[in-house]
Amino acid sequence: MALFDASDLVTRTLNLINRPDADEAFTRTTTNDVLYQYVSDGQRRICELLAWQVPEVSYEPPTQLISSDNGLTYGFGTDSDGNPILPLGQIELRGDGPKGLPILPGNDWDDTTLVYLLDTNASTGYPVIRWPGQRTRTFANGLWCRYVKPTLQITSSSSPVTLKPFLCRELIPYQAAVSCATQLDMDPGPYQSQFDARWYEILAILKTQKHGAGLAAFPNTSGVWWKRGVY
Amino acid sequence: MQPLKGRQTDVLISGPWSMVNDAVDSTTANTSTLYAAQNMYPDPQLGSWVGRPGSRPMGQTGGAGPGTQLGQSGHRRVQGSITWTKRNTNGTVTRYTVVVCGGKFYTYDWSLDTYTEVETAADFTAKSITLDKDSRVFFTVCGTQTGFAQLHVSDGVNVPFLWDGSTGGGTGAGLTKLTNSPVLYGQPWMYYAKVMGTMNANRGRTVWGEENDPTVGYLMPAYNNVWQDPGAQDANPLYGGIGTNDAIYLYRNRSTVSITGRLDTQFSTTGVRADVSNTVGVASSASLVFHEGTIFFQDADGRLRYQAGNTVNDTLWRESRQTTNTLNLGQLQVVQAVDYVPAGVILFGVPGPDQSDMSLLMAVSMTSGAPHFVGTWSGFGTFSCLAMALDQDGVPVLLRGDTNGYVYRFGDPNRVGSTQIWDDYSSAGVASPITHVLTPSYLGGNTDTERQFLRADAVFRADSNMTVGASYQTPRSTSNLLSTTIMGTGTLYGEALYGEFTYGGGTTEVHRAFGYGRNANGRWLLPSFTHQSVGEQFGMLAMSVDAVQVSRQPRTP
Repeated sequence: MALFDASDLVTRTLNLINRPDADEAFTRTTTNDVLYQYVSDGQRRICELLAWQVPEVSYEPPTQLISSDNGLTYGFGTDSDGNPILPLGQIELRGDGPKGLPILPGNDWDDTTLVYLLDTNASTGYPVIRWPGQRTRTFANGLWCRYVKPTLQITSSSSPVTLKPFLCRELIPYQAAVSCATQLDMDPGPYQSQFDARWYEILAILKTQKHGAGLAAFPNTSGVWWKRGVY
Repeated sequence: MQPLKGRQTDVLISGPWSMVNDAVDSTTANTSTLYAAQNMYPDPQLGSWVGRPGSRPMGQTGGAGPGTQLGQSGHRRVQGSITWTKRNTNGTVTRYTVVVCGGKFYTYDWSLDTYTEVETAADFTAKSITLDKDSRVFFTVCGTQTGFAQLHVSDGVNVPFLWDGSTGGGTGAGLTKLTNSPVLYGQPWMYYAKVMGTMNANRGRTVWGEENDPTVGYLMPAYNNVWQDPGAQDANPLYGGIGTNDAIYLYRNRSTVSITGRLDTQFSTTGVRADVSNTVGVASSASLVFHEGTIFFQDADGRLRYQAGNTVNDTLWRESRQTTNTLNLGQLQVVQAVDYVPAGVILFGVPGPDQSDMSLLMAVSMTSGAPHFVGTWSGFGTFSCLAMALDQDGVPVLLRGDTNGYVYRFGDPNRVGSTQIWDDYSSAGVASPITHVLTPSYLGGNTDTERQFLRADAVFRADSNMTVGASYQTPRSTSNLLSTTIMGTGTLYGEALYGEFTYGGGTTEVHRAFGYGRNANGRWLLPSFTHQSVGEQFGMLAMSVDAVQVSRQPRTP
């Protein structure tokens, strides 16, 4: 059982809520399957909070987006469960290869393909990159993106825990314990308090580390935050 | 665990337990009663319930491997066994453990773990004695003209004979055919130093030999030792009899009579008869056990009873009614009971569902003072013989003989060392775990109020490591099995090593909690604990369940 793997997270959750070793409270079909669901939900929530506050820390490596309609839309594909990927929070899009120029978000009434729209494919309903005014745009070296990918379900001790950065996994048991307490009609307050206290500490660490990241792409700003003066 | 928000938690306690009551009625349960106990019995001293000893085949001649198969092809039923202690002329005693199987007459050597066919077919032929190959054999120790007791052997089919402990040697040495005795039905008994029994040819007649001389008496004209059952109230045949220092008790199928008075030629007229019961009798004479002034038996309807003097008590049946209903009541003539002193229980070998031979033991204990039903012992397959013997040290040992020529000895629950056996070994010597089940009584029984049962806390007696399972049943559902492992930290006095064991304690109490889930709700909860692992012992003291009242619903099941 490695630090913050699925088994460790479940054990930490059980320790927090002080349940016996032999326990059926969180078993519906297989042992502790409900608890793995709570751990999974906790991971997803923390991933979303990070995407909201400091998405850079959770970005995937640059991924090429593929168009199946001659450049009208570019999709993010599906995850290993077959579900369409909706990038969380701010994305970073670059045209014509992973070293291409950044493409900024725009509006549908912009008369250009130099900005992008994030909406859904009309036929599949999947999240896609689209160009204003139903324009098409193709790239010799492809359209590339960095984004926060939603985490997958943790269903058993063998499920991978994908939350990034690693230290944020410490928060998962607190969130799972809140769910456990709610289910058992216990007071979830103590576990929520522990989550809140640690969340802000970790967030402060990440905010400081990543302060101003990405601003170099914007006019009149510097990527070096200490020279910029304001945020 | 932290408490629930705004809820008053009830703690529902069960234990320590003194008996089993298998009634399927949630409102009659109480804290000192178990709903079911399988392969368990109340420890006579410590107040906990412990797993029964295991058993292994005799004749392994090395402590391992297959046992010795007795009998002969087509005749492998173990017909009977007894340990007979013979006093020698110089005052010393010799113990003989006798086993009859397939018409063969063996003695068993406890030290060597070997059998000897001490009287062979040639010996029986030499003395014109016939020993049936399949019928149950009944033993009675009786005085003789030699001044020393001999073993009276009756197979219910042929004329009984005596054995004096000698080896036949092809000439039948040690055997005496009781040519004046009629064939006897069922278990004979002793009264006024006379062998008594029911005539097989006329089961309204009870006959007896002379005092310290079973070779004469009976229906011989010079003696006319016979009591004719008048049959005025019940003309049915006699099924069993037993003699105590106070009286003879004779059992028909559904009535019982006692007779007191000196057993002499005038007995048939001077014996004082008293009705014991007009409704209760026995189906098997071997089900009668005399223990400390009380007679225990199973009646012709399968109900366990005990009888003190002329008063028959039905407490045991009321505590075991559901178990009784599952028995093969058409085969109660095979029932055999023994007084298993080392565990403080009386065991009734009974035919389980659809079984023609014994397959189940029903246990009765006096640990709490009065006799009470304490559950069943099972896992043996069928068996034809149940007996108490004495080992080389004179310690009582429970024996079980199967229908395939093997006799199994049970371990001693009180001693250490090689006599400890905690698994059931097959005839091939392969160990199988014993399934221990302890089901406390219904908890929280209520007419309409529902509870959410939160957790169970149980205290176990960890004589060894244990892998314990817990489950429960409610009116609404049944749980999954929750499993936990307990490390036994105690060790028996005399076996402990300084600095390595918890010295001086043979028992360590260990507490374990079991978390109940969403299905643990309803008007009552029936918890259950199980254990089934080779090499491990199991024991349990008490348990409790935390619960909160949640609702009163008009459609509560």
